[in-house]
Amino acid sequence: MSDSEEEQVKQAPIIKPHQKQQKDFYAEQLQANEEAESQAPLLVVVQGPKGSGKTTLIKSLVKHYTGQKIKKLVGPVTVRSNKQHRVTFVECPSDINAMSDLSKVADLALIMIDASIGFEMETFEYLSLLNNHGFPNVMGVLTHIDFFKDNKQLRKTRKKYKKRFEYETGGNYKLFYLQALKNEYYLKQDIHNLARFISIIKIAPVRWKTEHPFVLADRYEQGKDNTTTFYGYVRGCTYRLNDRIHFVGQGDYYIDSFEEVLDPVEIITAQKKHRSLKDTEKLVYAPMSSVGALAIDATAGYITIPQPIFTEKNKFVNNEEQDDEEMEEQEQEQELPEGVRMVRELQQMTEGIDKQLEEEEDVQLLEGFELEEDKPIKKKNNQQQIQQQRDLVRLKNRVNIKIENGTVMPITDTLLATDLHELIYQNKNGINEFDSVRYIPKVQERKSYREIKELFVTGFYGQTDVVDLENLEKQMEEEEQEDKEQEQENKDNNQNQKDENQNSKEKQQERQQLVNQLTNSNLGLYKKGTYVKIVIKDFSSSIKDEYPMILARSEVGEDNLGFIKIRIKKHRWHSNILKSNDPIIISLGWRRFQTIPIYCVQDPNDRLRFVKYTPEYDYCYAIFYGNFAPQGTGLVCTQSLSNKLSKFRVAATGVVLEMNHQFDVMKKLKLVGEPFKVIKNTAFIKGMFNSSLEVAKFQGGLIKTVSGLRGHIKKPSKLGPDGSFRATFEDKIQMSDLVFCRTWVRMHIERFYRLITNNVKLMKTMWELRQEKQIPLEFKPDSTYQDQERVPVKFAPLRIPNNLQQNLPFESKEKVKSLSFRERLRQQVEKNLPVKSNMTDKEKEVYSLIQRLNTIKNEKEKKREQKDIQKQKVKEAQIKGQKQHLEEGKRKYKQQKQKDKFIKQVKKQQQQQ
Amino acid sequence: MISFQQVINFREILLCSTLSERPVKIEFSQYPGPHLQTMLKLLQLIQTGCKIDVNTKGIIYIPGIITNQDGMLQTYNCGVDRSISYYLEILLILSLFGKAPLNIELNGITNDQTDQSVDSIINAYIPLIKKFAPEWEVSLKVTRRGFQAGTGTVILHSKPIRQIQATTLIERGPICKIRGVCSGSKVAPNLLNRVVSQCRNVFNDYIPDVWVHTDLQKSQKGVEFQSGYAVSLVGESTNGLFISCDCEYSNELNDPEKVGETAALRLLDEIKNSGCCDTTQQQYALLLMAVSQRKVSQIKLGRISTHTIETLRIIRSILGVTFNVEESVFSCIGCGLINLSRLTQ
Repeated sequence: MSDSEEEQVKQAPIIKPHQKQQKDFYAEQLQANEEAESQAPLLVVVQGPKGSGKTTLIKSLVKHYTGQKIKKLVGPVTVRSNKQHRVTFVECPSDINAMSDLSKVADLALIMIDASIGFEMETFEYLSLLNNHGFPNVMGVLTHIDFFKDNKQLRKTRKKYKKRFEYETGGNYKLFYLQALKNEYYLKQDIHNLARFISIIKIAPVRWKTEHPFVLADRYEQGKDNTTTFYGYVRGCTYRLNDRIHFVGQGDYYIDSFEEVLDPVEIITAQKKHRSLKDTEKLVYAPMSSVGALAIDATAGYITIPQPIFTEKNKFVNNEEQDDEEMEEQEQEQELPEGVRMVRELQQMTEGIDKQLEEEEDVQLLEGFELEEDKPIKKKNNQQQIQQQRDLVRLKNRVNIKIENGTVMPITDTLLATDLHELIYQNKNGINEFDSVRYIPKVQERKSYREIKELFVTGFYGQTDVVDLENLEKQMEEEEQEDKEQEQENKDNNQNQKDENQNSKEKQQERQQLVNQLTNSNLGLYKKGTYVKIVIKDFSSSIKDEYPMILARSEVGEDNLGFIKIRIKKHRWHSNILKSNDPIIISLGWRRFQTIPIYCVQDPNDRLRFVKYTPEYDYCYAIFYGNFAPQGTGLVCTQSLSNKLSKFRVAATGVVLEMNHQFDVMKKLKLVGEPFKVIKNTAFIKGMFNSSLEVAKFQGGLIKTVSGLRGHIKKPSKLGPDGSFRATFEDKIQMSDLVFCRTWVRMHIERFYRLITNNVKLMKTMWELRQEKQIPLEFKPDSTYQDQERVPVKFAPLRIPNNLQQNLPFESKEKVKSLSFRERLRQQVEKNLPVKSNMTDKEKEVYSLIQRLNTIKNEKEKKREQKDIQKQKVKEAQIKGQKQHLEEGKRKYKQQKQKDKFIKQVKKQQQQQ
Repeated sequence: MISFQQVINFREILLCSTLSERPVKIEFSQYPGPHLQTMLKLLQLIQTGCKIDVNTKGIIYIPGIITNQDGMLQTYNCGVDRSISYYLEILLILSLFGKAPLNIELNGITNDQTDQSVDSIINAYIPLIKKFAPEWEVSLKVTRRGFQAGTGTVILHSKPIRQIQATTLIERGPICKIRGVCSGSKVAPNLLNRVVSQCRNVFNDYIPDVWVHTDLQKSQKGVEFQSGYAVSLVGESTNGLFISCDCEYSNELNDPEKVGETAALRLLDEIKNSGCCDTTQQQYALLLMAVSQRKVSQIKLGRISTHTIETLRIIRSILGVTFNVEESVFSCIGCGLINLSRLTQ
């Protein structure tokens, strides 16, 4: 089910509107994107190998959008691309951790390819990461094209790369070409084209993101006692406030506060004539990097002014005119952008800020921002507003609440009393003092229910007659009028359609209003696209600026640990297969962790059978201890975190199938025993078990000999060593037979789980340990293969004792054979024939004579045989010849017939002519 | 770990905790009764990896995964402390989030004075859940009746679903049908007919479409039935919403005419004072809204029982969902609970 749903989600944008069912689904999708008006900035991840021009591209794009120059690029950069649209650019380092994190959050991935080198390993790694974390939109960017001087060669390589890129991404994705650099930026026209495609792109919904809200932090501040504040946009979906947060790559933390603050790159909602942005509205927000002349350090901010271009006006103004001028000045100042005003103010200062700070406590750098507490004033206002709104709502909805008989009854008509919302959530007294039982209404008299007749279908028929008749007449008239109106409406269908569209729009608006109402009513809901501030106390781990800071909400049930069964396949480009019980790093959901999986395959009877290694080109299952994630979530395995690019780093990819707290993975175990006493079909077997208790556990179990005789384990026996037992077979077994008992042993799955953080110490694989400590591979002489020498068994001839023979029935007795005369003679001769060496001369003569006579006889027989063969040959030849003759005759006869036919036809034709 | 103090209403806490897989600690001021043990054992039966620590002061409950014993048929004795429907109310919601289908045979009391009857569960509670989970496949059958002595048997088959839909229940619409079951054991068959006729007598002023079935338990070998009779009435509205009520024979209501009339009047009272679902089941409707997908759900309620208020507090502390209340319309955005344990092919 979930798979098919996922497919549907992917298909959503290409649904044809005329198909009703799909239309419904599309409507549902719309409902899902209820907060369309408040979209989070489009998250564009720029990825590529070192030296492929990632930073230059971001700088060029920022310059294109805002005209600002970024000197040093660190962290995310948000720009306003048009009035309704914002874009965040993030550069992706070639570290595998950052790559996998950014592949989970990206709305659009720009994949940079250095044309002079070609496709590099990182590109393929990143593509396979994207593939398994829900494929977002992808664009390829080919740089360093000026490497090719020859035009023909350039065209060829462009074509080649385009083909390969389409093959790797599955087609439909654009590949851009960026020409040479000019003043450290790409050409204007190229960037313009790219920016256009970025701004019109439709975001493909990725299931993981539509269900998991997160904040990609732009900026952070570390205060005293490791209190750290993060700022960023809520992305993915609506954020429901939770006490915990998962800092991707750092661990879980409790939130101290979570507030909405002033959006640095707000959407411009007021509709004006100009569609394009004013220069003052072109904003870039890159708090961690240095933009233009402004550079922000960890401790201070610097403004570089290359030349004093302007002078202060006040000095040259006469005293008389000063008042008017000042007024004008103030007006002008208000119009000036914030930055310019600030610089001017700073220029007028005689003392540094630090000195001023010592004197006064409440210095305001920007309006609304207090330096000390760093709490935007807007937030306070916001809360006040919310409070006011809530009060208003309450005043409207104040209801009289009657507490009676274990229930609360809101009655809207009467005087003001308490609020139901308050009663439920703020009044902390336990109302309930008994376990939930069914509510039994207090019954009043039968007459008192007369008034509720109108709640029934038949209700209005029961009213008095006179009024009813009038009503009915009125109704009839109204219906007639309606009919007429309907006819009119039918005439102009176009209007109807418009109305429908309006209706759907209105419905959508209503839904939007509902959502807004809920989010504004202080229930801890934050729409996506809101700029929030998150304070975490005791944030102990260190932050690297170039790594993405993703703060994800820890979802219900997904922070639990347990065993997960996944379908896994080794990546075709990873050099070695994976071994069971070797630690591996898995990136699943938001988390990356090291765990010890075991691999298994499923037998036809649903048994999970342990395998030592993953198959080379096939899927298998893996079971490991880790974080729960919904079924169908993709995951990526790596073997190490090192950034050495000697190997393809993505070891395997997979998908989550099942979660449970225990899995039965079985391994085959053959118990071997040997018989020490055999009585008919019964045998006593030793060496299979160690004690009679063990035997008792296996009573009734199936056993088998090497030769294939089947049997059962019966009972432990007192004969023989401890653990020997009596068994019966379907036939008598040999003493030399081995007896097997086939059993299955449950494999132990390690409960090992280690979250990957900045300075995590990873568990080493056996191979790494061997390498490190110079331990050679364990050598077991038993495990090596040896040539088997098989000596053929010599059985003694069957001898039946005379005593036994006499007692045998006649049928089985050895019979005396009566010989013919000739046979008797031959026997006699053979008996009497002398042995060669002991022969006398006369005997020799006799012997040679017999031999010669024999040769003559043999010769004669040979000749006779040859003659017979010749005769046969002649006969065969004769038969053959006759057949040939016959066939020839037939052929000639046919030819003659055809000739005759032909002649006849010719004659006929002549006659006709 | 979330802890609750001096709460006797432990059932909803355990339900929320199991759904969200968050461990909870419940402290009791007094021991609620043997039904606590029965409830915990039932939860353990359908789960794996569930750990329960019970002592004199309270319990620590660490939920596992609802596997339903891989769909094998289970038999469970609910005892005589509380009726079967007390456990069914929880079990039906839990079975939505299982790994395999739940097949279970429950033994105990089918009709009782403290809890709603099994008939109300079949006719009103299951349709209510189906409003939130339209694709849910479920069958609940009463194979034997049990009054007080706990001789009743109920068989439940329920298939899991992926997610609960966000639903808006604002307009109930007028009541168009009244259905019901009048059940009894070891009583004269005539008695049930008298109850039914009295019910009809009351409803005749309001609606003609009244149909109350009678279900008299036949005697079986080796089973000692206790005498008793009860009636469960359900009113269906034009928008497919159900409102139920129950009435049983007791010392005060010892006359079949009295039982019939009280049942009918109780239903009228419920229809008058409740919104889109009846007062007993409203807390579960709110809970289903809280665990539904991330969209706006709304429900209109009439009077609100004190259990519901307690349940709303539990929902907020475990699931983190706060409801917006305006003129008895409760609205919220669900927490988007997904059935993590369900098997996929």
